[in-house]
Amino acid sequence: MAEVARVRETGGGGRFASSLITAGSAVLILVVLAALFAPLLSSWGPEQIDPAASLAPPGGAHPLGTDLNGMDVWSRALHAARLDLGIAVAAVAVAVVAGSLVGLVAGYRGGWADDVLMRVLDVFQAFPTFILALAVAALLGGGTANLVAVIALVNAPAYARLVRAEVRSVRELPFVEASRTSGSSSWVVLWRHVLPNSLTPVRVIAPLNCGWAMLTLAGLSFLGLGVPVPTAEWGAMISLGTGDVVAGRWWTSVPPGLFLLICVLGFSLLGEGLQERADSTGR
Amino acid sequence: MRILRFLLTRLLQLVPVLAGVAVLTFLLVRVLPGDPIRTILGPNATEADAAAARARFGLDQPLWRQFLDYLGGLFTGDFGTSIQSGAPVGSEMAVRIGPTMELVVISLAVALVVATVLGIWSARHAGRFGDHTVRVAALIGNSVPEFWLGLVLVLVVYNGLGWAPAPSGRVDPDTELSLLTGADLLDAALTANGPAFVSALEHLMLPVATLVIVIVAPLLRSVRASALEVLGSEAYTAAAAHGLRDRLLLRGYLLRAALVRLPALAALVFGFAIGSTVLVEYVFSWQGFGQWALRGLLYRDYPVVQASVLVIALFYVVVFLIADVVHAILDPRVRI
Amino acid sequence: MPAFSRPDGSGSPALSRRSVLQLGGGVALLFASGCAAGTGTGGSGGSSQGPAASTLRIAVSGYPSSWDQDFVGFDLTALMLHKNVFPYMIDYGVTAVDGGQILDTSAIAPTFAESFEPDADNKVWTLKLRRGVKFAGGNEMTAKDVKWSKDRAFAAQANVAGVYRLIGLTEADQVEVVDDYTVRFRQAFPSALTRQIQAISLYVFDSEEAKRHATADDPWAKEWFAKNAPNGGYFNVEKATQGQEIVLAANPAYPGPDGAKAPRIRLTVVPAAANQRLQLQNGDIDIAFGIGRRDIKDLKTTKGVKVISAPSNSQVTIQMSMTTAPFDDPAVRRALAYAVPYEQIIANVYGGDARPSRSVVPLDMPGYSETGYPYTHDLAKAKQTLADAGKGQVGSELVFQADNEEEQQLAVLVQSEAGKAGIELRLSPLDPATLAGRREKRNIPLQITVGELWVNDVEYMLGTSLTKGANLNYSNYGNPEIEKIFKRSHTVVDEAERAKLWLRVQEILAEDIPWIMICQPNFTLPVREEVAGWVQPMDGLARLRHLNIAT
Repeated sequence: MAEVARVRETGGGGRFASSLITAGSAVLILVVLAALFAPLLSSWGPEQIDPAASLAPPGGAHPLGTDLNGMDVWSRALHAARLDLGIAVAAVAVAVVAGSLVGLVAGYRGGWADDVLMRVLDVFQAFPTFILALAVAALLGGGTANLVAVIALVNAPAYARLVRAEVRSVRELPFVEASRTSGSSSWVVLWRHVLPNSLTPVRVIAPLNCGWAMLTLAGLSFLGLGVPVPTAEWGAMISLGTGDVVAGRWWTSVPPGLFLLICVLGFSLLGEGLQERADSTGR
Repeated sequence: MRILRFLLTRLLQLVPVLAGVAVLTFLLVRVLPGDPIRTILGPNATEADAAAARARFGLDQPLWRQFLDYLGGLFTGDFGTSIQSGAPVGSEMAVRIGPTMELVVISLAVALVVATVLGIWSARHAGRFGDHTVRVAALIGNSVPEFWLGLVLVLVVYNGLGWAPAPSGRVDPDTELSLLTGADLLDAALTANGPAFVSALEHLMLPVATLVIVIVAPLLRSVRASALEVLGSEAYTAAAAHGLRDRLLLRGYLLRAALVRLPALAALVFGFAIGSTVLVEYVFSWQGFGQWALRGLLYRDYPVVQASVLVIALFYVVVFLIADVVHAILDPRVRI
Repeated sequence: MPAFSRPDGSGSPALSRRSVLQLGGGVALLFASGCAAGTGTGGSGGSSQGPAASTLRIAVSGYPSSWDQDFVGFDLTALMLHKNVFPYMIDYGVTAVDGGQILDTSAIAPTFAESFEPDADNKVWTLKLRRGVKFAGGNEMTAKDVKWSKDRAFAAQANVAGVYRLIGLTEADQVEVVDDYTVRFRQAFPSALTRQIQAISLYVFDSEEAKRHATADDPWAKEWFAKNAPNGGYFNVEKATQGQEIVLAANPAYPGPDGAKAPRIRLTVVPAAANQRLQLQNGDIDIAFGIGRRDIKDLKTTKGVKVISAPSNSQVTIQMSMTTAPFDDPAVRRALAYAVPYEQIIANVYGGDARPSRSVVPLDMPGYSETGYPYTHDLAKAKQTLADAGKGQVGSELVFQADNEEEQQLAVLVQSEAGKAGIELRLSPLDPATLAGRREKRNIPLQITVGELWVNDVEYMLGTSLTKGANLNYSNYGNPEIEKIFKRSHTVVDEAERAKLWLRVQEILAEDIPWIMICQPNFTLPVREEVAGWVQPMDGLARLRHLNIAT
């Protein structure tokens, strides 16, 4: 009995959802601030070599020590936020736009166009993510724009599917039906009515996806297919530092790992909160 | 009958997808920069040697011809010959699939159990501190880069505490395990090799823990949400009001309802795990499928890449199909 | 131009740590095949779980890509294994130098063979085999096996055929079977290199076994030998699990001196360097072949572990393309040579375990002279040199192997200093297939190479790396005078005379500067304290037969 009462309360689980959203946003704002003010917060450049210190422990001139190349870990971890956030957000944005377009067309047109597009998406989804990403990275090279393209490519099919499903249900709603019969062109109907309604779930998923995109980027860097050396990027830093962990030199890989974790967690908290809110209002 | 027809339609839909994967992979590997032949020839090789080697692997043929040969091979179960090792790709693959499947399947199973238990517990304590803790912990696990987590686990559990065996391989070679399927745990069980079984279990501990931590969050969320729905339903309220015992409530209502949505999600997670196991394999010297495919890609071993991508895609679509069927059986509301 | 080259192995360990990629090989660099991470040997030691006490446990970074020594690519693990499982008719001796033991390239002695001696003109060499030596399958090792192996090398253009040109062997007919236990090699000219070249080339296959697996399409059984381990060497392969482990057992049929000391050796594939290190520290392995420079320093002070360290002729260089802008201008090459922070690289990348290079010719090679590389780190001179040549800013990519931490670290240091001198470098790590493809096309303006020559001789070096068309000549270097000296050296046997030629070669190279000579890192190999008998190979490829476990 008591349980039932509690469950009802959680209909007002809105409160936890709000705190998740707040916490996630706070974390992300912090990361953005750190990224923006990175040059002010560190006295070394992210790629500046301290010839006197390779693998120096934290303390003194280097608050978090230096890595194998003699570069300041604290400075690199801060500066890396720019690139990681930038690539992840840009990649998800591209994926949302491209995926939504495909989903919109497939869902709205239906028929053979839908069939063909869906099978193409199936192909991309069935393709192992890392191999696809690796192959595209090998093909295009490791530049920033190419990384955005790679990560967008592996994420876009999910959005296409999501939007397609929404479009198919929205399409049958009375007001859409009405504007269609009243003679609006199909693009107007799509743009004005179908698209905005279809994007609701996308808004919930996108933050989660940003976190995931960041992990993909880190994985690519770990495999040596990320940003060019010696650019500061968390995955590349962890990768360079993995060999130090067993030697007890935690400072080369633990800080970038924690930065990455915190940043991804910020997105996860935000996404989880949004999802919970959507669930409770939807119910 | 309807299930059968459903199954048949879905199976037919797989054909174009797999064909698409085959074509895409075939073209993709060939546009990549780099020459697979040069990596196997000695530094001394002349252009004539390279041409001869190319002919040996059929790479001198026009593209359409190569593709037809590849397709023809597939129908007879012939995946071609690895350029790097000269061995048939099929037999190499057979050795590699077992270990990876073992890792992924066990991880997924453990994650499902953990997610179900914690998810239902969390739902029944919804809104309390414990519930929030579980959820946030799962989210944290979901936010950790797996290669980093694996390394930290090795450091703490093997190096620090000494609880796990060295991260080199999957079973202690001194147990003289004979390989049947490549999945060591299964082989040990089949050959009734006790020490090998224990050794394989110990070796599985850390990689499985790594994967479980990384994949449990979405499963947990799904179970918890389903359970919450049930807890709020009238049927459950009524049953609880009639004083049904806890255990019965749990089994009769919560568990079944919570599991209905799980198959589809589990399939998705399975797909993800297969894809990301390559990083975990590296950290634990697992020598599985992911490492093999990756190496194939790096050396542009065309047949290896083609075969591995196709097989992963096959697993992926089949698992989805199974998930749909299971879902249909579990949930009578599903129209098929 | 015939390619003469062959590579050679090399040695530096390094390899990879990080990556998942496990790229494999070494890469080669220079001379060929790469370097592997060290290859080594092992001892046994304190194991925590206990395999038979006498089994040496060795960790390697990757599984060998092929068992066929004739056609293997840049794969140090494979090359090392081949040295131990193929029967070599003659082989290097061992000599003691300050406290350690090294392979003695000047004392090449018969092992499986009874003798290998020239006639009075040094042109015709006679190989006599021992009677009654058997392969593991029971076939006797006779002259027909030697003949078949050499026929195969010539017909199928194996690596050996390339090196044989250096000593005037170009056709199968020059190898004659006299009787069941005698083979004659008729060289086109006498050569100072015969013993050295034959020491790396005179391995044989079991020809009866081979013929059973030959087909019309594949008359030399390449497919079969790629997949199946050879036997009859110092060790037989007792068990090989693809991708995971290889167990070697001492060959009881070995007839010569210095047979394998360890009865069994188990090689386990452990791709991650960090794991190798942990296992070594914990005594779960005896020897680690994939540990990089950054761990070596720590391991020197780790209890239960010792680090074998020895000077080596492995060279780290940056080859500049003489035919690609901006390095087609000698001023730019010189400027870069002044911009490289040599001491800093030795200190930071190699932890001081390296010797500076003062010539293109390796330090311990006969004929070495300090005049060969008169460049030191001097940014002012670098800028001046560029300015004098009328160049403001120049730029280029710097290519190295992906997944090779040592090269990456080096590249970052060079990039940073070169930038200060006005040479902007873009770092471009390449995976093995891309690297091999681009090296083949000779279109890399600037690349890091690491390697060691298999034959310690300048003639060999010119033939493999510094003459037109040579396989390891990634610089596209060509100098008419060097070509002439190289041709002449074929038939010059007198040591003093050769030394004079080499002095001239180094003067020319100092002027032309095709390579930046970074340094010569020492060979380092971490092992458990119980491991004994290590013999330092001059090619970086471990000879496992000398190893055992001290009790």
